[in-house]
Amino acid sequence: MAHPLTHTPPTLPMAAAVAGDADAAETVARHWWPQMRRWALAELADEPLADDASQEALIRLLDRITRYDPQRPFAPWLRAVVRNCCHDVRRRRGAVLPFLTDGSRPSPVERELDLQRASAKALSGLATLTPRQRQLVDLCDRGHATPSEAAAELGIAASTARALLHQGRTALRRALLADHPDWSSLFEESP
Amino acid sequence: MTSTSSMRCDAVRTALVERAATDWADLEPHLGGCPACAALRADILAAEAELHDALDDFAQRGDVDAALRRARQARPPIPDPAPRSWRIPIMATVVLASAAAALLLLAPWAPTPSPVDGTVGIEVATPAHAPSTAPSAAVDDSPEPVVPMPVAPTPPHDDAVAMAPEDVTEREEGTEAEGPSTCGDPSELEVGAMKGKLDHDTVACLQGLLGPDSRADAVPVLRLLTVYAFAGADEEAWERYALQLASITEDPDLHYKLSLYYAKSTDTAPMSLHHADIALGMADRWPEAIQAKRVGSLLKLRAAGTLRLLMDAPTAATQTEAADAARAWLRHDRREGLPVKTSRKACVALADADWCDAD
Repeated sequence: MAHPLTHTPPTLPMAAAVAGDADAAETVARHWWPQMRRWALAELADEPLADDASQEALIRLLDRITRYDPQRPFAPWLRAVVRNCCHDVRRRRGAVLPFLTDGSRPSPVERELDLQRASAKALSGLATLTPRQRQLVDLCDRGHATPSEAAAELGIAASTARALLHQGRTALRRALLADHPDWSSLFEESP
Repeated sequence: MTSTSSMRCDAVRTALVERAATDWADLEPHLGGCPACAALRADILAAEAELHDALDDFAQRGDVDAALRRARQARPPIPDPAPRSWRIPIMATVVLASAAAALLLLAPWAPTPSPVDGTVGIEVATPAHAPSTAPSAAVDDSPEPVVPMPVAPTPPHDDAVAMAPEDVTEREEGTEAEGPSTCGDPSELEVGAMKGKLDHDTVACLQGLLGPDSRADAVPVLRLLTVYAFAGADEEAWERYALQLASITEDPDLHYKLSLYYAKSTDTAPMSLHHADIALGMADRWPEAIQAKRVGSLLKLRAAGTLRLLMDAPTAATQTEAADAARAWLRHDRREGLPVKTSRKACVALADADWCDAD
C-alpha cells in the first residue's frame, strides 16, 4: 500500500506541470514541500543545512519538472532531486567547515540549552549515522520501503542495503538512548 | 525454533535495538513477562517518536509561499563546482594573471581622461617629457589626451619596468626642485609634481593646506600630492591621498585606478571590488569611445577580486558572487562584441555553460 506521504494524489496537475505550466508546477511543489523538507532533514540531520537544501531542491523541482517521466513514480524522482541537493549542500559545507569551525563551537550554556530540546537531541542521534545509513533508515523505517526497494532506489546491492540498514538502525537507537540512565550501561556492555 | 519466552534478556535487548519495530512480534512473550525489557522497548519507541516529531516539525515549519517566492526570484541554480574544482585554480590563474598584466602595463605617467564631472582636476599643458599617447592601463589602447591626473602607482618591483629610463634618471638625480619652491597656486606646481621634484617645504606647505574645512580647495592640492607621490613611487602616500581625493570627488577614473591598485592581493580584494562598484556606478560619465573598455576592465577586476575571495574562502556565497561577476563580465564582452574566450572560461569554471550562456 502506498504511503500517504509518498503517494502522488491524482488531483495534482502533474501532466500540466510536466508540460511546462508554471502554476501547475507550483501546485505540485506546494504539495510536496513538507515532504521535501522532511527528506532533507532526514538526509542531513542539520536544520540550517536542510533549510538550504530544501530551498535549492524546490528551485530545481520547478526548473526540471519538465524532464520528469510521468510513467515513473514521482516520489523516488523527487527524492533523488532532494538527495542531490543535500549532497551538494553537504559538500559545500565540507569545504566551508575548516573556515567555520575555528572558535565557532557553541558555548557550554548554548549546548546545554540546545540539548534540552528533544528534537535537537533526536537529530543529534540521527547525525551520528553515515549519510547512507540515514538514507536507508529513512527509506525503510519511516518510508516503509523494503530493503530491496531502498537498494533499488539508491542504486546499491540489496545485501549492502540490508547490512547498512542494520548498522544504521542499531547506531541510531544506541545514540538516541546513549544518555538514558537505564540503558547507557547496557550499550557499554554490548558489543 | 527457540522459545522467545525463554530468551535471555541480553538477547531480547539486542534484538530490540537491531530489528525494525515491525519485527518485534516474536519478542512479545518475553516482553510480557519482563518489565525491564518492556521498558527498553517503550524507550526506543519514545526516542524514535521524538525523532519522528522533530522531522515532522521541521517539515511543517517551512513557509512554502516564501520558498516559492525565493524560487521564482532565483536564477537557475549554479552547479556546484566541486567536481570540476581543478578548473577554479586554472581559471583563477588566467583571470588573475590578466589583471596582473594590467597592473604591470600601467605606466606611472599613464594619462587618464579629463575629470568627467567638470569640477575637479587641474587643467595644465602636457609636459614635454610625458608621452602623449601612453596607455593608461592594459585595457586602454586608444590614445587619450594627457591630463596629469593622479594614477595608481605600480608596486615597487614594477617601477623599473613601468618607468621610462629618462624619468628614472631624473628621479635619481633630482635633488633640486624644479617646481616652484613656495606653496602657491597649485597649477604652477604641476610640472614639478609630475616629475617628483617638489621640495620638502613645498610638500609640507601643500599638506598644510589640507584642512578639514576646505574641501573644495583640497581637491587641486590633493591632485598635486597624489601625482607627486606617484612620481616618487611612494605607494603608501599615493594610496592615502587618492582615498582622500576619492572621498571628496566623483571621479570614475580615480575609483578605476584604486580598484586596479587594490587588485594586487587577496587581502585588498574587497577594496578593489568596492572601488570597481563605485566606478561602474559612474560609468555613464566616461565618453562613449572609452566607456565599453573601461567597464569591461572593471568587470574583469570584479571577476578577479571575487575569484580571489572564493579561493580564500570557498563558500556558497563567494562562489555565487564569483560566478555572477564572471557572467557579468562575459555578458558585457558579448554585448560589446569583444572577445569572450577568457571571460567565458572564467564563468564556465565557476558554473555550467548553460547558465553562463543564458540571456
